[in-house]
Amino acid sequence: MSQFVAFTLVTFQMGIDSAIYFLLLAVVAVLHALLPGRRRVFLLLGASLAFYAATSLPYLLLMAVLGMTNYFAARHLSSDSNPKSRQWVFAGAVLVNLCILAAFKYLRGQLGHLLAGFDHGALDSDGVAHLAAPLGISYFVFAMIGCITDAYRQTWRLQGGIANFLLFGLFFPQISSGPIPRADRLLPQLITSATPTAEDRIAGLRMIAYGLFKKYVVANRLNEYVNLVFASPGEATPSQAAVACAFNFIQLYADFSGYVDIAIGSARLLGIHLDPNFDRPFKSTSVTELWRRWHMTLSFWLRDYVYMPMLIRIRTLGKFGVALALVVTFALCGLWHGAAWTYILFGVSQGIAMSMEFLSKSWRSKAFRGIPPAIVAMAGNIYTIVFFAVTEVIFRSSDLAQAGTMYRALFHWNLTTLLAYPPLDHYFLALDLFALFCWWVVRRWFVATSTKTYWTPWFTMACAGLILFFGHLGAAHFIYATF
Amino acid sequence: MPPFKTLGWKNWIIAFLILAGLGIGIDAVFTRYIVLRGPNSPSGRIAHLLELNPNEIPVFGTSRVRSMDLGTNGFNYAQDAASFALTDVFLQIELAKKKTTPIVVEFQFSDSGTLGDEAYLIPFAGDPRIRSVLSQFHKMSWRYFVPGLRYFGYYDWMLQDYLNERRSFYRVTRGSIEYLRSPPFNQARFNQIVRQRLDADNGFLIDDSLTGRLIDEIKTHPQRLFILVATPVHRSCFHNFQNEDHLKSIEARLEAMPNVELIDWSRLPYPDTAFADTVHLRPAETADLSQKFRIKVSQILQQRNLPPLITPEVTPGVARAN
Repeated sequence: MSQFVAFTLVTFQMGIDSAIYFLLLAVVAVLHALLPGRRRVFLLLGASLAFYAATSLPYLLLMAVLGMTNYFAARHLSSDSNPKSRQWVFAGAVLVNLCILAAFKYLRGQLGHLLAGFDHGALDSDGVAHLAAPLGISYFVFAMIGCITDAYRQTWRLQGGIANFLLFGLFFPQISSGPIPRADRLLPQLITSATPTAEDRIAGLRMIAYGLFKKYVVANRLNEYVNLVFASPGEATPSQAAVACAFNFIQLYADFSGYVDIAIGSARLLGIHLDPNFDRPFKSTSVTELWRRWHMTLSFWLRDYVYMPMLIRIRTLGKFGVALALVVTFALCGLWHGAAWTYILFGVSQGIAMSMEFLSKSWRSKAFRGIPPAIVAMAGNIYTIVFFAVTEVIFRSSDLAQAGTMYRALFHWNLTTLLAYPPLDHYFLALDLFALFCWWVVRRWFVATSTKTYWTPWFTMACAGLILFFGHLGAAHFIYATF
Repeated sequence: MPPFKTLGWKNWIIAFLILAGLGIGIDAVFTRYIVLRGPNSPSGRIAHLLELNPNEIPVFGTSRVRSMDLGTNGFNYAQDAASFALTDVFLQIELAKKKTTPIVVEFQFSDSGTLGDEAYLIPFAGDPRIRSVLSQFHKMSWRYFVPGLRYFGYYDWMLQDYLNERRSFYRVTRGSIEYLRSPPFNQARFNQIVRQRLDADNGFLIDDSLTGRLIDEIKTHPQRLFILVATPVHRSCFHNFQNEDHLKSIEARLEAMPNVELIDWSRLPYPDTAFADTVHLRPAETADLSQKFRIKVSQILQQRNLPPLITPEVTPGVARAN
């Protein structure tokens, strides 16, 4: 038991941005090209198991058992026609997944103490058990619930064997923070295991380089300023709080989309196309649209497996039913991030904003009739960005008190505070702004050269150079790896 | 999307070689002009320590005592927020030299538990002593041996130090850091720092093995006089002091050694306004303390018939303006 606790205390040993990860990816990519199609699934499964085992061996066993349970449930749901037994299997499988998720996500303290009953060394000097959650447990469970539900609804039938199914859940580029896979799109690719084209390889390399650039040059650098302000919000001037607020939004996007780019790029090197998770969220003209462009795989998962079923049940409430379903869905979205009021409040705020947008839709279309659409879109864009950046303060804060202090700093404008010097440190603020400028340039280059093979090495090396000389170590891991 | 041809390996190799060449070139320039820009930069001081400097009186620890007040033969090797483990390595390097000058060591009650800014040790990662202390703090990395890759993540910090010095935020003179501009004293902020200190574990918290090693080094080098100085700290550092007896026994042991002079100034009564935080004085008080320290060291050297400190330089008044 002590071995179990010791193992589970270790997390994120092989980050997706670590040298060892890229070594593993390179070896797998070479072997993948050499092996015949039908053996590739075993190579990828072996690599995924090794990746997970590097984090925690006991948790790998837990995930494998959970994966196999879901496989047999999905097989039963795909082949059995007895509605009663299908209902029981579906409910049982979903319950098992949710219990495991709840135990490790929300009851970890209690679980840690339970395990520590067998090994007192697992507690620190304050008697707190530091039991780490299994890597990517929520992404894994969401993927499993998704395919079980699809099989139950008969919109998808299980294909391939158990190796393919386990690989679907544990595929190493995506296991730590998604994108949340859908069985109908990923499983057929894993079964076919097609040879990656030159286009796949080039796109993969470019995305990895771009993702690392976003993480090291933008996200980690902005993190310094944001951390500094959030560490003592009571001392921040309104302008400092406003800059921190904006940087927090940009950092979160750069960090998470950087991770997703690396994950998608890694998969493309192996000829696998993962679902995109972001689609230029800064262009959104409403909060509703933003959530269709931000963390898309989670948003769509919530839409398909939480929001729609709920809406069907309360459809008699009409428009208010829709609003209620939105608020409840996004409260659950907040809860998914963690059992803290900050996350729940963040989720509820998003749900309320979307409900208001829904309820005022016809009124707005009448009110804005005479205004040029471009101006309406621009105003909507500003409102969306400001709303999201301001509500992200709750998301970032460790508790509601910190969020409150931050908001007091943010909205305490008067002539004296307006003239107060905004930068905490001129040097680092200048570097932050330069990093944003670099991002703008690199992004333009990334888009402009996406179909030009010739530019790929230069783009990749330019990103590598910027990371090397301008990269910031800052935050040790990706923000969404903790969810 | 138009069809892709090949990966174009020739381009990849050329691009990589250009990046590698650029990396090595920037590394060389950065090392020469920024990292080792002179004997006063943190890395420059370590390079200086590796030289013999036969008449020099070295100062080790984290203290910001001004070398200029010690005379032209004083040199402060202090590294900000560094653990005594690093001081110990510096001592080993110094004691390996055939010298007889006194050594000043800051006698700390607690240990930062960090190497301070380990980036400054990177150019010396090839030295087994430096490598061992980096490994001890889990800060050793294979890339420290790869030019072009070794300063990854540190360029901005090192450049900031360089620019701060250029813009006269502080001046480093023979090792000692003199802050020329510092924020005005803020009682509310200071109270917050004091509250943190009151909540922290206070006491003599240096690991016994490190104290034992210091005592062994003193014993095995009787030709060198060790001046151990406990610098002033805020009174909150003595709140709930856990092991007063242990501290007293160690101090008694050190004082009993013939080649040790222990100066315990830890409880000098300074007001709150004299402190930058609970363990560092503000620039003006640091300057005053440095003067006081010079007088004390001169007296000790005179009593022991050792060569005196060489005439001190003129202390610029700018530090007092703070």
